Amino acid sequence: MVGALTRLFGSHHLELAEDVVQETLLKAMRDWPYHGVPENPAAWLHRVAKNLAIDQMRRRSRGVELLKENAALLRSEWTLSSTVTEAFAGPVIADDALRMLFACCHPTIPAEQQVALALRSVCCFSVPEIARAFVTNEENINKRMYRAREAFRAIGKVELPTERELPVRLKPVLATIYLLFNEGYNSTAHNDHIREDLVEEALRLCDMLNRNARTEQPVTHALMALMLFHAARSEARVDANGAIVLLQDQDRSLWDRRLIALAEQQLHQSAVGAELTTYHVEAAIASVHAQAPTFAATDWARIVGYYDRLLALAPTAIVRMNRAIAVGRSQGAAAGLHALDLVEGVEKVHLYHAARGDLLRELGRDEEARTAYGNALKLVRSPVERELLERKRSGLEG
Amino acid sequence: MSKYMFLFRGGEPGVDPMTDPAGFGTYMMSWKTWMENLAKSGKYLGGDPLEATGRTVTGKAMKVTDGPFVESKEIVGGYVIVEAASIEDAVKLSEGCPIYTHDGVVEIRPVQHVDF
Repeated sequence: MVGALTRLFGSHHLELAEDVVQETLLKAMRDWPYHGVPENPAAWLHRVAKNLAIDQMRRRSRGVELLKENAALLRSEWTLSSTVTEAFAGPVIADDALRMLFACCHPTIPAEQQVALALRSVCCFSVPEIARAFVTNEENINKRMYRAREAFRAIGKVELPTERELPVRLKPVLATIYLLFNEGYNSTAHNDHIREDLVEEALRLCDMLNRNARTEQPVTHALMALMLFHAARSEARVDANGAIVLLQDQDRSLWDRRLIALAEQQLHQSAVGAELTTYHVEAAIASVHAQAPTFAATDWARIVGYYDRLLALAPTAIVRMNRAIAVGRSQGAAAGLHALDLVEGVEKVHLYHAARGDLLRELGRDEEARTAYGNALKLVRSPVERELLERKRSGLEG
Repeated sequence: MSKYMFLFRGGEPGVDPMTDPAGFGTYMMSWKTWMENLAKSGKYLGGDPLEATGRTVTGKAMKVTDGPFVESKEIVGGYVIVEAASIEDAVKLSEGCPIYTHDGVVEIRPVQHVDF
């Protein structure tokens, strides 16, 4: 609904739109307990929001700047009601959420603010909820929102990008969705439903892109596949104490086969066109893991191949490190260690030292392995991983 | 470019918003369609529909009566101001106005340029 109203009033009236929706929800909370939930709650909400929006326009439309193409229609009683009514017409609403998503991820809005803005305006999270989602305080989020809104106002018209603009405009949208997903998925703050909500919202937004003929692209399916592969493992990657369980130690019977099947389907749909993105390759890697019965029986040669492609697209230290680990699995410890020693900029990553320890141990270089595990132990945070590393280190003594 | 006022007389919608809100909605949408096209052309400057009754104030003493009491087809039911190159152009702009299909009249009056 915020999307419908913002399209109508213009992006500089985001707060006006949010106020209308907020007031609508408040009215629902006041009315429904007394009169019961209406037969068609969505229609009820739309009708109330529509009337509130009309009231707002009656009171304020002369004093405020409106979008050129709507101003005259919103300022005249001939057309005010029908213009607002039309903005709330059923099938348009889903598109409005998409338009809003693209506006929130406009290149003029800084990346870290895009996510907060999208959560507020597209996913209807409250400020306290967003603060909890980002493990920060409300004041911080309010500051971030304030700056984001300033930038949002300057956009003007809230519209889906044209076919020509789409490739450029889609990138920050996908980045935001993936950030949202990772924020929920990679959190160590467990047992917090907000975290699950973030994962769900990320999947929902990506699904929305896939359901719209204009925005549906191979890359949107690739991101969906990647997120679904990860989501399929969520049961297995946290233990009873809420600590992260590494891929190699996960109980694969806990993986959600239904989600994996959906992910494979999405990956299949992503495999058209000429563009290969990091989402494609990362999803392909996740797919190889999903198909492997055990960690040891994984097709490591294929994974190394995918990492080579990933390196060509995103030459980061973490990708190099993961590639070296995969090399260690597929071509033996010596080759793995050689590759790993060539990686720079991962000295602060405990997995780097842990992987070196594993490879050195395999090569019988126990003394060096002990040192590597020691370095890893200085950096590790999860108690379960710490215990595992300590066990490995003490297994080397004597 | 000059300004022209459209005065609408008569043209009852034929549907009661109270008993047939959907039908009335359709009727108002037909106005919107016409005005939206006007707005898109950039020639629509504004306007509003008017209630059928109000007050009539007369003379130095400002005598107030209810009214206007004229035949319903004579009552000004609303106005719109447009911008047009000529009166012919203004007449053309009124094409598609729903009042024509509801037995009503559009009176088109150029805004007077007052020079002295």
